[in-house]
Order: sequence, then C-alpha cells, then structure tokens
Amino acid sequence: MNIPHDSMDIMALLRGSEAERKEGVRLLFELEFIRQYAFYWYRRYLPRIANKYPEWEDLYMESIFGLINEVDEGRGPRTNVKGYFSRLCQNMCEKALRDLKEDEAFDQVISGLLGASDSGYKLRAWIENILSKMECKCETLLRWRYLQTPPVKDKEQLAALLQEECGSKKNGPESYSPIAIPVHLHDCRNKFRGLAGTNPFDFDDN
Amino acid sequence: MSNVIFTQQIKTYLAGKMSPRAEKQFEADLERSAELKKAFLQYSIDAYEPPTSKAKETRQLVEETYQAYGAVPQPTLPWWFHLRVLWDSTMGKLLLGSGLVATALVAWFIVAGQSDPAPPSRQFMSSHIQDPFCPGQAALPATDIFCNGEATIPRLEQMTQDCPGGFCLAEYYLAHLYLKDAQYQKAATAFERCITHYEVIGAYIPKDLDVHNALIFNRILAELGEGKKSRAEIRTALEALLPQLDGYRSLRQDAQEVVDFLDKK
Repeated sequence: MNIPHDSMDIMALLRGSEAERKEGVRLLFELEFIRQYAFYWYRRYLPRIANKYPEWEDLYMESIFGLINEVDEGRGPRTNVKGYFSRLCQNMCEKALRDLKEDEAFDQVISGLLGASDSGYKLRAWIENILSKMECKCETLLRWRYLQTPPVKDKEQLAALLQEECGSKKNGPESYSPIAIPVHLHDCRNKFRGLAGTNPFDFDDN
Repeated sequence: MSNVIFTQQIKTYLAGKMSPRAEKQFEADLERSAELKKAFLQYSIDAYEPPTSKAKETRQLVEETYQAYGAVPQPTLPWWFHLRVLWDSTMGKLLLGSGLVATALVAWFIVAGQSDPAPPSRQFMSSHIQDPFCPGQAALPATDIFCNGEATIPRLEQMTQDCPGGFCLAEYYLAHLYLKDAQYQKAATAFERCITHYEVIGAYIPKDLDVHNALIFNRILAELGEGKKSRAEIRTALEALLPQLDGYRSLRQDAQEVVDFLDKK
C-alpha cells in the first residue's frame, strides 16, 4: 500500500475498510504535528491535568483515540486537520479539568452519603453489590477509597494495596505506580457509574 | 428544592460556569444537604454514557498500534509554541509584555530617527526662493520676457532648445520657474547647470550681487523639495553656505530660516 503523506488522506483511510482503518491509525502515529499539539496542550494545562494524564503520551494516545471517534461519528476534520486536532486536544484538556471536578464532587458525595444515618447502611450494601461485579483493580481501589473507615486517600498507599491484592495476573505481573492511581480511580469510577446505571439505587425507598 | 433545579445547578457547577462565589456556596450546600448529595449521585450515574462497542474496538486498536509503535519520541516544539506556553504564566506575560513594549519603543525610536518628516510646504518654499536678477535695461530676449512677466515654462523651454554655446540665459530664468512651480527635480538639475555655467550668467550681472550663492541656495531648496537627499545632508550644505553669506543679509536670513525649519522638524 502506498503511504499517503497528506493528513486528509489519512482521514479518508480512517473512513475506509478495516485494513485501511488500521493503516490510518498507524499513520496517525507517524504525524509529527499530532505529537507536537498533544505535547503543547499538555504543557499548557500542566499541572492541572496531571491527575488524569500523568504523562504527555497519555494525552497523545487519548487525543488520537478522540480523533478517530470523531471521524467514526461522522464529524472529524474536513479541511484543516491541524486546526481540528489542536482544538480537539484543547477540548480534551478542558474535559480533564471538568472530570477532575466531577471526581472530587463524587468523592465528597459518596463519603457524605455513606456517613449519613438515613441512607448510609443501604448505600453501603448497594456499593458492595456493584463492587463484587467489578474486576480486581476497581473493586480493590474503590473499596479502600470509599468503604474503608477511614477511607484511604494516599496514592502511595493505594498503589501498595493494589499491588498486594491484584499485582500478579495470569499473563504476568502487573505493577501499579502511585502516579497512575488518579487515572485508575477515574476509570473505575466510570465503570462503577456504568454498572450503577443498570442497577440504580433507590433513594426514595429509605 | 426540586431535583430539576438540583440537576441544573450540578450541570452548571460541573461545566465550570458558576461564579466563584456561587461555586463555594454550591460546595457548602453539597456538604450539608443530603438531598443535593442524592441528586448529585443520581445525576452522576444517569449522565454516564458507557462506551459503545465501536469505541471499545477503536481504543483497543489505538492501544495495540501504540504498543507496536514502541517509544514515542518527545516532539521538538517550534519557538512560537514555547512563547505561547510562556505566555500562559503570569510571569511569562509580564516578561513577554515588557519585551514587546521595549521592542516597540526601540523600533519607534529607530524609525523616528531615520525617517525624514514631511517635506516643507509649497508656501514655505516660495517665500524662500531667491528671485533672479532683472537688469534695468533688457539685455537678451530671455531677460526681456522674464522681467516683463511674460515668461512661461514652455516658452523658456523652447528658447533653451538652440543655445549656441550649450548654455543660455533662458535656462537661468527657467530654473527659477521650475522651482516656483514645485518641479523640484528639474529645478535641481537646472540650477546645477547654472552653477556650472556661472560665467555666462555672471557676464550680465553686477559684481556686487551674490548671484552665485543665491543659485547654490536655490539648488539646495530644490533638493530639499525633491526629497532625495536626507535632511542631514541638506543641513550640512546650508551650514557650509552660511559663512559665505555674511554680506548678504536677506539671503543669510532665508538660509538661516531653512536651517531652523530643518532643526524644528
């Protein structure tokens, strides 16, 4: 296959067959400006987004994923790929800030509700029920973070607990670094919310 | 308060659209109000959209490609990216802002120092031109025509067409007409010829009149109007001329006024 050098050609590949799509994704990783914009926006939003993207490569990969999603959903760049991608990176950084805010509020709410006398007991049971359906990483992380008394907030401590309880897998050992804990927590909160949506908690029943 | 209002508040809060004061109030309410806490949890769960299977596939594809690609080199940013990053910090804004102001000031000083101001007005030039000599009795046709007020540029130009010795007095009068008519380039050339052939003009003019220096002064005026020479060059020429004008009060005064004009601008 001829390698197209024009970024609009890559967009066309992403809209094409499965093989073309794979080639398109590979070529996206070749584009220097994609790296440059991801790195640039990452540096502009540091240190505020470090909780979600500990390294610039995290934003880089996420922005490539975001770009492909945009194309899949019928949007994506029509003429100016550079401008579109730059705006996309900026939007992702802004979203990271909103997510951070939402995570903080979520933490506060869960802790508050668990401590409340009227709903605390039932809520705890409901959370336990959802956690039991989750993978080791999320179950461990969320249990120590929310259900433990007092809750464990320290990233080093959470990383050590994760390492101890889920550190080895069938495919080999998995290591958890403290720097990645906020990312894991965000990911697990989302998974929790996904499961909670199918098994809603009825506040009015209390 | 109804859940609809809570939801609206939560949305506004998470979108970062609340004022700092309202944000603090909301956070205090969230800490205090069990109803708001429940509404928030409900909103958080309802607002969550699990990724589609297509998105999951895409993520897997991106992750696999990324891993196959190996280590991604850290990009080198062009200099303007660094400036924009620097601009985001308060200290950077101060540094870059003061740098820009300093550069603008230096540029302004350089430009202001180098560029000449607007040329003198036609009125200023007319009031300083040294008129040509008119004898009591007409000596030559050109003198006759000019001194009787019948000279025009085309007529004198016609007369200069066939000068026997290469220069004739018509050119002397023509140079003055050019200068009065603001045809500075032609005037400068014509006065230069007059100075070169001064012996022809001097044969008809009394010795006590400083016509030579008047021609030099007029040529300098023409050059000033022409704008090809810098103000500094014009000023130097005038300064060289001034000491020779000690006996000619009117001409000296005019020359001094032009020097003053150049100094003012």
